[in-house]
Amino acid sequence: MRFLFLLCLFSFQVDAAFTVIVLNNDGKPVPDAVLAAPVVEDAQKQNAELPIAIMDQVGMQFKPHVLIVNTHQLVSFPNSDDTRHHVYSFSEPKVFELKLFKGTNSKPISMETAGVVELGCNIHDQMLGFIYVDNSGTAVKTNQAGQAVFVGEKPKSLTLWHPRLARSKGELLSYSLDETNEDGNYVLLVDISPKVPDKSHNKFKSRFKRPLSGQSE
Amino acid sequence: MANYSTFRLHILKLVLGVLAFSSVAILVNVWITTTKTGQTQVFDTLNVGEGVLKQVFANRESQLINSAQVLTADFGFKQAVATRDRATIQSVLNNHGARIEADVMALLSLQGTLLSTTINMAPETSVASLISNEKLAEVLSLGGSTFWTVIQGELYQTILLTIDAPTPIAIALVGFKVDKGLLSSFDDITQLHTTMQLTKPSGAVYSVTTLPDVNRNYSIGDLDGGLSWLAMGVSDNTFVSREFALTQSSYEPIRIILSANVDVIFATFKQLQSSIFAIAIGSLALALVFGMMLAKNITRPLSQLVEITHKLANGAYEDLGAAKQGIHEVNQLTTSFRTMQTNIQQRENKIRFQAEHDITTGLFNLAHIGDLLSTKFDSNSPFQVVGISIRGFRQLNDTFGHQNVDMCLQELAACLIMLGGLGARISSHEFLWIPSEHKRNENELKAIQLQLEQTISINNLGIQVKLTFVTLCCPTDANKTESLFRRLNITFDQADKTSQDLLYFNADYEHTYTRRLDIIRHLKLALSDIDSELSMVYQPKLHIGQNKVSKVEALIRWNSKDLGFVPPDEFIEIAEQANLIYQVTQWVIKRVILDVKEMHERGQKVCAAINLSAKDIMQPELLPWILMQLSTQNLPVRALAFELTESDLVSDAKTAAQHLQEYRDAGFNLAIDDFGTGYSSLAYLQKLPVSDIKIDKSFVLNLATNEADQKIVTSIIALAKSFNMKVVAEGIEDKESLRLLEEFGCDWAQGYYICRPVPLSEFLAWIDKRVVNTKVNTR
Repeated sequence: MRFLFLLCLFSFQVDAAFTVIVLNNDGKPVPDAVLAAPVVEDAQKQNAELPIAIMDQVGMQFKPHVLIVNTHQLVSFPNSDDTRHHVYSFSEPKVFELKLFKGTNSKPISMETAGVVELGCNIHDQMLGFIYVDNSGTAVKTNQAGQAVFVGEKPKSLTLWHPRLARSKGELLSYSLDETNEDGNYVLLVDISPKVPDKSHNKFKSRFKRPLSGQSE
Repeated sequence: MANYSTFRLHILKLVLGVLAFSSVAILVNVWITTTKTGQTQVFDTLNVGEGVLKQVFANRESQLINSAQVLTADFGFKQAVATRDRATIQSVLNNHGARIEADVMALLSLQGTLLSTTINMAPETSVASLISNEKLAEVLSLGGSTFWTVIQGELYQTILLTIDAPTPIAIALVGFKVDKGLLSSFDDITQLHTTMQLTKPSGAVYSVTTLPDVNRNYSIGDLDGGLSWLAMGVSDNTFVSREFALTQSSYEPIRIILSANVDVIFATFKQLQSSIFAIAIGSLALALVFGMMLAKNITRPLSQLVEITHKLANGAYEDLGAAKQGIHEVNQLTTSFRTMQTNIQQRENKIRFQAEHDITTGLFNLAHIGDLLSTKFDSNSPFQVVGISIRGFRQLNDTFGHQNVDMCLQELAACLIMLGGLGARISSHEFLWIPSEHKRNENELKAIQLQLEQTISINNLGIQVKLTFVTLCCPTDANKTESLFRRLNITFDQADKTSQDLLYFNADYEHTYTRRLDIIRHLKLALSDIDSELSMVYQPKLHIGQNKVSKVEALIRWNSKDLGFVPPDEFIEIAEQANLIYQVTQWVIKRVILDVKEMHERGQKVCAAINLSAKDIMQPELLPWILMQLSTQNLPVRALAFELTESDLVSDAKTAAQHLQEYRDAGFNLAIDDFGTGYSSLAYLQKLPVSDIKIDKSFVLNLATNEADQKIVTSIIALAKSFNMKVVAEGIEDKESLRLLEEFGCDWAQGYYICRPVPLSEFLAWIDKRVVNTKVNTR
């Protein structure tokens, strides 16, 4: 709470900026939620000017878990692990497949279409990453405290995306920014499914094992 | 016979009872135990089967899941699904389904709609319609799920898996068919029959089973029911089943039923039961046979023994014969019986011999010869009986001694046996001989007598016996044993009396004998009453000097109603022989005392003389008894006097003298009767304490004419006078004799001349008359 409080104090010092806090139904902060203002046509920037985004693979995980890029921005997939990775995406905005060897740099991939690109590794099933391709130029990601800071004018509404939004592929939720809390922050509540503890191995155990062990007692 | 069958029955009952009981007990026990064991085994089998099957299904499920997961994780598969190209997806399902040998493959959208399938399904029975929203949520949240379903009439174990690229993009359905073949492979493991039942949402039940069709309904209807052991052999329901769920999940519609074939499990037990039953029946039959044999072995000799004892009891001593083989104890019993039989036989022979024979001589005894004679009489053939009596047997014994005489008798008996026929000793000194062949005549008998009388030498002693032979011819002389013996004795007596060596029976002898018996019988009766057939007569004794009668001799008379007049000599002799004389004497004394009392009361102070025998004198109690009688009647001692026969006193003069002295001391006069006939010597006369002498009437009867008698009488009187005795003469029958006696100096006269013996009343009349006469003519 104290930490949250300090962050709030700090946000007041930044001009033309506001903070949005994303909480789940339990009131816990939700990190990795991508917030963006609705798309404005003239707000688009040139692709060339954009830097190459990095989606690294560290410790058999994508890093960062959620990467925000603009449309037409290039994304590089370095491999910091000792193993090979076979990164793929069957998502609509960008379908691709990269065989990444250790120490070799693959050619960056350009994200032309806005949307969410799911990244998986054919070798390591537990690896899951997302590239949020933004065409509004305003997308920000909540930190571990579920906070995201917008710089600039406050829009009427915000869109919200999160990897664990229930059964939606690239679906965006829309929130209107009407009221702040007593700290002057906007609090958005989101319903996300709980994190699957270990997705790397058996997704479900045989339900026969429990009754059997129960019966033997 | 009743005992026989009872005993046999007892053995059979015992043997069969015990065996039947134990057999039934064993049978029941085995039956119960095997049934219990069988039940336990069935339940154990079912338990194990349940466990095994659950494990098998769990393993199978995980294997299936694993292979399905491998499939859905395949990049090519994912890629194909991600393309959303229907043809590609279809071919991928076919291809990858074949890889893992799945029976059905289908692809569903995350919303549960059917995208593609390997089998053709009508839309309403599509896989998608079988998946509930809950199942869908479970799949999405867990990444996968399993469920059981029936597709196109077949049971499937179905696995749903998300296809992750890398997040779920679709759901793959992998179904594995569960059919009879699969269940059969389980049956091989569990050795049970497996049935799987699926209850559809509609409530309808679908089942797959390996049970034979006929048992299907029974077994499933009898789920977990108690196993009745009776049902094992009898019932058609040879399956016992158990139903259980594969999981504890309440909405799981699949259930498994395991059925144990009781027949198979109980086959061994049934065999055991039936073999025990067979053994029991067999041993019962064996026991019956052996029991019967045993009973027979025991009871047959026993019943034989019973028969033998019956025979033994009746005195038949046959060979026991039986019990050659058989039971030891019974044999022993038989041997004992044999010994007993022999002993009894020997003893009986001995007893019979002793009963039938005289021990000294070995001849038949009286009883047995009596029996033999009876049979002889019954045979109606004539035969001769010879009685042999040893004369003077007592003297013989006294002379030679008992033992020697016995040996002599044995010799005699041996000779008698040599003669043939039947020989018997019928008393100490009497033998009986029944010649076997023909009737012996007098000469032959005399020859035999001589032969037997030959001197027998014993212990250097020559003993010669004198024998009396009497003979009877039967049945002429006697036709009954009793009469034979009686007549034999009569003949002996007769021979004895007449001193004959050989005498043939005569019917007259028996007449004497019977009269004697009659006399004895009637005399006994007469003696019982003081006023009886017996009476006393009195003969007066005249005192010659005073011509006065003051003494009488009392004489007994018997006028029997049946026998007529019996002379006193005859019945007195018989009474002496029959030991009745003492009673006669007592009767006489009593009677005389009464009569004398009457005389005295009539004024005649008469002294009555009573004849006593030597035997009477020897009775010590007689004298006191006489004195008592006298005092009872208040009579003086001088009212009675006694006369004794001279010959009587001779045998034991000294003792007689002692007793007579007692009578004298008591105050009685004693006279010697019949003096002169015996052997009286002077010395003898001197010793006897007598007061009177009665001259025997044989000297007096002819006194008047016989001078020799006169001389004898004179000398007797002189002798008596010298001893200071009074003399009484009896038998005076004429006046001359009386005159002579007076002349000789005789004191008393008695005789018919004076008065015959008369009864009391007559005597009293007579004496009254005489007193008158004497007064008139004094001579």
